[in-house]
Amino acid sequence: MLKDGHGIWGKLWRFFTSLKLTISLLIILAITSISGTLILQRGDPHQYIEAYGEAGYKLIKMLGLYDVYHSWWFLMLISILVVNIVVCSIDRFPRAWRYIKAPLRYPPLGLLKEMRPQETLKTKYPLKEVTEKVKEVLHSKGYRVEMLMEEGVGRVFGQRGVINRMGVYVTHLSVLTILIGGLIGGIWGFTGGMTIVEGESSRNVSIFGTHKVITLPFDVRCDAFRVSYYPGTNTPKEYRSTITILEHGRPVLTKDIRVNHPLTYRGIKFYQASYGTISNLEGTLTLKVIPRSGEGFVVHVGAGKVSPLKDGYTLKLVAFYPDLVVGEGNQPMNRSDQLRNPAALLEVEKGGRPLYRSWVFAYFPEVHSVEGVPFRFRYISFKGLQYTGLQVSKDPGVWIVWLGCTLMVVGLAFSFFLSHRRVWVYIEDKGKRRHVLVAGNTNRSHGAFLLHFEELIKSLKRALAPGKP
Amino acid sequence: MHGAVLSHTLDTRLVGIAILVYLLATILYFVYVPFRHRAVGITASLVALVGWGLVTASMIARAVISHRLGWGHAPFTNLYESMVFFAWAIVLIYLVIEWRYKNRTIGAFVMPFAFIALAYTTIGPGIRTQIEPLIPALQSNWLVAHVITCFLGYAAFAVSCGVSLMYLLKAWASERGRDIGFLPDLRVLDEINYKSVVVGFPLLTLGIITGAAWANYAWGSYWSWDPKETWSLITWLIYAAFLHARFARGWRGKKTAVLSIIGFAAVLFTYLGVNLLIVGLHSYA
Repeated sequence: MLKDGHGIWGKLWRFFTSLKLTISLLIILAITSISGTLILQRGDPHQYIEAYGEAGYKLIKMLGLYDVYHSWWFLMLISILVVNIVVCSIDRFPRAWRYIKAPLRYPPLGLLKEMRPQETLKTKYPLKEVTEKVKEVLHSKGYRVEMLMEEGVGRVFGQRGVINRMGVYVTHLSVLTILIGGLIGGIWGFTGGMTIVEGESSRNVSIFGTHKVITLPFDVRCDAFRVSYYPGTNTPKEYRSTITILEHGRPVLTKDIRVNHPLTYRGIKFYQASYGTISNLEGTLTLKVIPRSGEGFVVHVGAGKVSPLKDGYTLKLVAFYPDLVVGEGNQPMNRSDQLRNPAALLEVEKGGRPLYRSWVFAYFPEVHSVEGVPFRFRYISFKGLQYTGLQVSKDPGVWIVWLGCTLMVVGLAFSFFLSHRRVWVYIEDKGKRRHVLVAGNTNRSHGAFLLHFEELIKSLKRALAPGKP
Repeated sequence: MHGAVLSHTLDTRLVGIAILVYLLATILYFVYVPFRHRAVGITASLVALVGWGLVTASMIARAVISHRLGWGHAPFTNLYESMVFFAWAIVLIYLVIEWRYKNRTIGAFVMPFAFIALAYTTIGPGIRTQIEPLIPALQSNWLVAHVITCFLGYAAFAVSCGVSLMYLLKAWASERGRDIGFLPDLRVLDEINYKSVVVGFPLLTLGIITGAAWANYAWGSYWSWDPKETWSLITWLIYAAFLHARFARGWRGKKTAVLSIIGFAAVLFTYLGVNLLIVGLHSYA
């Protein structure tokens, strides 16, 4: 056989069936995986040069440390592990399968007498009846039982948890299944993002980590995007986009997507990922106006537009910042497209001539609230055009991964929570009495099995006690 | 706002008491180990049980309070809540082992972990005890399954680490011709180490799987090599190596004890180290 060969194939076979190799690979994978959590992954070259210098970047590039988990050596380690698993399984599976296909039902008496734990009982019941009773007791303890009557001898064999022998193979198969699922997803799947302004549609997905753009075979329209908050807090409760799918311009499906509730269409999944407000183009600012004299009132003003105030004064919205920060050279700028620190620059005009400018801050109402001007302003709200950011992914391997995960849980349960327990009973005619030799064996949890065996002997004694019908 | 009102709710007060009770149990186990006074041992177990009951009550109270606030979520959603659950799970698994193996000395090596975990909720950096509403990403049933399986697994690994430390201590002494009589037999320690890993490993596996399922629903990708994910895989690989070494190569005793301790160090790094030192998807918990 291959494994006994002295040539190169025999050596290779023994190398790959070695469990030393398995343990070494697991440890090496664990250690090398650390690198990818310490070094920035899939960053831009200048980021590495900044952090590690030119020489450091060269080394990182050479060793593929900028993308450890897809580097040639990491994939090679996984490939060796795969070969290791496959070869080990081929090597060991036939022996395990024999427990299921051809169990050792009726071993020779000499072998039985060497087994531990072991117990001999004596009874006066006739041979056939004893054998039946033993069979019944084992059956009631969850054993699958077989019996054999010979001349002057009755034999019973019971086993349970034989599937435990398969646990390790199911678990190893599950690892391979998950890796295959991952590979399929990596080859035929993609993950990217698309941003769609409310009311508009798009079919372009920018693939993450590349400059590639995929064109979907249908259009995705964002009908509306909303954020809702927990009452009395700034904590967002829900991000919700109403999405319509259009085939050849005709709407075919409309659905709301939220975080944790994606939309699947033609195998492609759309996830709520981000959002923002487009402030410069459109949107309406609502303000409370406090005139120097008289009642306050509410005014709406569009970006770059002019709205009447009163007494011939007009208000112009010069600029709106959803998330204002002060940048270089004291220039106002946006930190993000979200309404985190809304601010507006207003201009009050009369007869088309600008009179004065004033800032309004949503969260700092007293700042720039100068006295002595005809009108002061308070921020109420800004209703801008919003865009939704969707993560788009297609993964034809994902169901294989879930199948693998299920197999893994099943395999681990077989391996760790079951044990293959076998009981052999040899009943012999000894004149007036029958001698009942009971021997047991388990492949794991010996302590628990010893207790179980004691219980079993007690039950047998009860069943074989005289005077019972 | 809410935070100020809620910072001293019933549940955190219960945890405050439980910290002291866990400390008392730890001390009692320490006293029990060298003197083997039966009454002290029973008291230690009872005190540990009372502490565990207090933590249970605290988690129930927290769930009820969050429900009354209209946020209604299971108490497994941030660092504070996971740490309380961790301290709960360690004592649960320990008490089961104490009952199964009829041995209280292990308590002296496991109870400190539970005490430190619970005390950490009041002194750890960046721990917020307020009950907070859930951001959209955390509104998932997978989250509950993920946290419960992970932390029960971590607790089992804490027990295996505790008995491994005992093993090394006893083995170290016996190599120098001294026997630490009050520690359990080396064989028993080795067995409990193995049994704890056998319980912990499937739980960690389930924890990783439920985490992947959640990530798939929330972010559209079941695995993205985020540092926390990677470190959970590293932990999984170490314990996988442990099981292969033990099952197939017959490693026993010192070698597996050392693997257990390294494994638990990886658990702690996955849980805390990644958050403190590396930024990633799990930045909220």
